[in-house]
Amino acid sequence: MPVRRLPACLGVFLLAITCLRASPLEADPHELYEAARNHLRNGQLQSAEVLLTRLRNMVSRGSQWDPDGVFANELLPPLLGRLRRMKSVSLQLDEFSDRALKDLQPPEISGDDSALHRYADWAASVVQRLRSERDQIISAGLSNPEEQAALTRTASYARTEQLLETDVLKVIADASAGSAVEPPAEDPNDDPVQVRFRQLKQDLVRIMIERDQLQQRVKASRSDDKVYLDALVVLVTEGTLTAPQRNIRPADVSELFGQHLDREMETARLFSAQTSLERDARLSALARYRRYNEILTRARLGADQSRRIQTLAQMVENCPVQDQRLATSSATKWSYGLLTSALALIAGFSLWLAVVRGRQLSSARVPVQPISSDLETTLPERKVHGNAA
Amino acid sequence: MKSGSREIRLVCLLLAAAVASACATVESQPTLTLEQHTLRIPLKVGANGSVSLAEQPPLTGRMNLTPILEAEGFDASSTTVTTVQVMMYYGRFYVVANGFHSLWQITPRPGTSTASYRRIPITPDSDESVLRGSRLSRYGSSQSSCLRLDRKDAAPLFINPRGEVSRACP
Repeated sequence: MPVRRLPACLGVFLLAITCLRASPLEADPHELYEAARNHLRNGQLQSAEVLLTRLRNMVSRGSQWDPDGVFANELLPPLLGRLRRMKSVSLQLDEFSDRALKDLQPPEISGDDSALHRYADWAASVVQRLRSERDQIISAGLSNPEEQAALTRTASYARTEQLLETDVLKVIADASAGSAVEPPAEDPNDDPVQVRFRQLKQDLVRIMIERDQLQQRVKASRSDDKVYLDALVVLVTEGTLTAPQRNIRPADVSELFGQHLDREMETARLFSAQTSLERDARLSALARYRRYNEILTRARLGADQSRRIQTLAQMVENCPVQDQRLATSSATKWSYGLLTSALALIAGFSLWLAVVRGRQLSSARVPVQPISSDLETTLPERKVHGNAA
Repeated sequence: MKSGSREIRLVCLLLAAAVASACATVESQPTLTLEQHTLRIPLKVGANGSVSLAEQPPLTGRMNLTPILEAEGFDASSTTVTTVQVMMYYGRFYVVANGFHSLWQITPRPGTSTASYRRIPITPDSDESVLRGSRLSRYGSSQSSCLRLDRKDAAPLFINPRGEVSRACP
């Protein structure tokens, strides 16, 4: 008999040795502490309690795992306190759920059409009241936001959520199922679903009409904008750009204005001199450009063109004025003299011709006057005789 | 007579020397009790072989483990080691990771951003020559505590404050 037991004992011994060798490391205080914190953070109060109990036993007085009592005196008590508070509030939430579910009493159901609205109003008010009551329990029991957040992951909190989201509606459904309210579903006009569907359809049609109207308004507004912008471009470019621009944007006005100023500068570079009249005209144009630029900048229609205008103004200022040289040159004086003499001769000859012609005409007009009076007097006679000639 | 006066002078000189030595102050800095330990800190190894202590506040700072990783045969740039375990024990950091052959002691140099480091060889108990399931913790009593190194499939080892390895914590 002992010989038969020997292999069995050896097998058990070897198995025990193998199990011991393969067993994982026993949890130490660090691991228990971290795991308990994670469970608390995730609202798993039962698991956290088990781990904290193990940790407390492990670091009890005299344990070598906690040489200075750091776990026992400093790390464990806050976790235990948090667990105690969360358990307390969790218990209050359970009681709250039981009490609220028991106290749920839907209003009396009548057969009129407003029953549905009354149910909806009742459910909304009840859910709101219960929610605020639950939040008050949590805030009164847990002041730490981290603990409040952890509590929202507990089963008790989930039960309250179910109460607010499902159970209240379920109570209404149960109450309406047992009531005498039976809408005549045969008539589709009285079916609330059909009525609601028709209402939604009408709303949809109305919204589509409004959308189309708005789109037309936007389109008309864009067309008006394009006309205004084209006119503005023609204005600021002094009519040099008369062709309407495609897809013009507000910022393009300033850009086209800048291009116009560039062209003006290129033209100004070609002038080696200017008369005072030309200079006045250009200074006047510069004043206009400054006003355009000020208006465009104020209206935020593109970039400021002050630098270009300033450059153009310097070019106009630097261009020499040659009015006096032209007036004082001898060739010009002779030309003016000859021109004046020729004009005077032409004027005198024309005057003589006019006088002579006037005399001839006056002598020729003398016999004509009676004819004109005859015509006035004989006209009725022609009418009578019907002689058209 | 002359010998008597010599003796008197000698005695006076000795007395003066004794008084002078008594009056001289020996400059010594006062001390207070300080124990610096941390819990076990798991830290991620960055791409450049360094770890950030700020992963576990309130500690902040960084520790470049490239020399240690290279000494352990790892390529620090490829970061084969993803996490290390760090623990401060009597003001020194101890670093270990799975796949290491040794425990490493890092001694900060106060007032600088450098630290000296040394290897604490670990004799493997099993066939595996590298550490598996390594775990650092403090162990012992308040009068004499050790750094305990648990390993998978091997007996724990204890490191005393002087950095000596033993099988038991005295």
